[in-house]
Amino acid sequence: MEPALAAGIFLLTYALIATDRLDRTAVALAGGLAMVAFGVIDQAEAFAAIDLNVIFLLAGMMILAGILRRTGFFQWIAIRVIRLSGGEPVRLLVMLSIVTAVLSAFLDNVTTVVLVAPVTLYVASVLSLSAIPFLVAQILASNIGGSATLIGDPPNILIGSASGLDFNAFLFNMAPVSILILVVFLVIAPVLFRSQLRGSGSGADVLLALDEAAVITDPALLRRALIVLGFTVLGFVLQGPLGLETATIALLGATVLLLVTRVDPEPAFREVDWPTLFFFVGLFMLVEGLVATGIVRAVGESLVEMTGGEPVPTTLGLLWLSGIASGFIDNIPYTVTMIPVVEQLGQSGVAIEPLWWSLALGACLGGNATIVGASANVVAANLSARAGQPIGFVAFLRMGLIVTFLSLVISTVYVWVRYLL
Amino acid sequence: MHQGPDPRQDPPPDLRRTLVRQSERALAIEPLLLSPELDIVDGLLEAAGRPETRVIGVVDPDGHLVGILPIAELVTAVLGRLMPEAFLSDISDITQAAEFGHAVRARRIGEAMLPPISVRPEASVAEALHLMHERNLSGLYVVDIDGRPTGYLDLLELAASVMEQTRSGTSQGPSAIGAPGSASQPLGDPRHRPSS
Repeated sequence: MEPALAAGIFLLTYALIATDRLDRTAVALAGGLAMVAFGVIDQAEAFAAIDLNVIFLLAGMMILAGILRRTGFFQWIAIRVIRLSGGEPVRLLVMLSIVTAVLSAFLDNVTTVVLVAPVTLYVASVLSLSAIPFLVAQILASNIGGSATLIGDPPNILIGSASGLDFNAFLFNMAPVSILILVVFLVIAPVLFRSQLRGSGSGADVLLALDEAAVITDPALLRRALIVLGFTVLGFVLQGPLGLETATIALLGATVLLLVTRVDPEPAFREVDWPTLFFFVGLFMLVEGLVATGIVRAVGESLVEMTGGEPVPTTLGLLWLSGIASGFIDNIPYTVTMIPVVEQLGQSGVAIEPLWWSLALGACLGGNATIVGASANVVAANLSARAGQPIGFVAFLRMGLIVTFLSLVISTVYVWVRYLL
Repeated sequence: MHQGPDPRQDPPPDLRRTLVRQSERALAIEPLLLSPELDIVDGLLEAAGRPETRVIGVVDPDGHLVGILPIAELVTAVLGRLMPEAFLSDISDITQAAEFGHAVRARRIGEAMLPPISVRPEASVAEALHLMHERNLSGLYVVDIDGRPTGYLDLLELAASVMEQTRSGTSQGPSAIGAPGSASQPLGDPRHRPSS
């Protein structure tokens, strides 16, 4: 009875999240609490399942990014890049994509996209071009860049915390393939968008006259924020020797920044995306219900049976399953659900590290397939529509499917050559 | 020493029973109605000649209200293209980003305008105040049954007349706020009554 009940609660919660008709945080919390209310797990088990390392790592990075966003830093970089590009549309598309990817690797994707987007909208307006190819390229680059590091994308944060793989492990294993995918993307993006990048040639002189220094609102705050952010990233790199968890480093960075800048902590804490954090809380409790009733073990065992426990089909199958699933359902609940499945596969004798990289690559890069595949996509589409330049579902899908397919093919070759040969 | 009305002590006028059309002082400012086809720079110059109207009404050739354009939005649309740095540095969330993106794309008034928000003359002053507060507007167009503007309700003038009414102490009942014959007379400042 209990497994059927747990499966029912889980599937209903997933379906409600997928339909997007109700708030996803409320639905996830309801699902998680239903597991407790119906006796699938007790409260102690539910609360113990909440990965506080994930919650506090996210909260710490949100505070850091929230303070940084008030300095004009993102706009400064975007304007600097615009001037360096000389106002030439293809160069602009490539350079703004690189900036977005690099920022997304260290800061949250949504913040990056939201703060680079207004500069992009301005540039497109001055050049009398549609902003859509630039924004779509930035969304795609943001998800590719986010896959490169442990702190770049929520699926990586979840996987890093569950697997014990540290910042450097992600850097050495994920960054090479992310850079390769970004390079391929930057080569094909101008081709994919070529018809929309032909402007009248006017307006470049206006862009060259922009003054990036004028967007810095508080140079002293910016300096301090960048120094603290630099030390925080260094802390992640030295995580092993320091013997600290990632959440401790992120919270330490946020706290030091609050102390050295003396900014009012109240608005800084308001920058924390509490609905997302409670979304995680609900999902952790929800999936614990599945784990406790043995459903996850059964799924893992059937996967091993299907692939015969062979590492190549199991690992690459997971990569493609994750890539396809993440295009259509939120990659956060997907990853939370798949983590215990991967742990089960590992216990069944399949080499576990390639499985973690496959899950991370599939979950992060699959988000590029559709406009609803990742939070940055949804937010950028919303912003673009409100600014009068709606990104159509089909228009995005055309680009998203091509880029996702190429990303998964490159990832397949990478995982196979590096871990499975 | 504080000489003015104290809203914490003086009884407020009954704004739920006072109709918009009775708010004579608040309606004293003339509407500024522009075509959606007008260039935004020309619109800005027109608005500069009428600084007391802080929300532009955008009307189609038949005179129907098709949009509104707060002056701040118009300024962002015009100056945002000339000196975007001044506006970009303040953007910190999706709403501000979208508003800036919307404004800098506009070349004509119709492209910069926001969806129409208006009240009917028989709406209560309380409803109008609520609408202005909710939408962060400093003025509101009063429209007839066909959606044609018949007046412009200014937030500041409305607030001033409410406070005068409060100070007069004759605030109860559906008397016209600031209307002749009520205890509080509208100010006769010519700046508030531009000739057309």
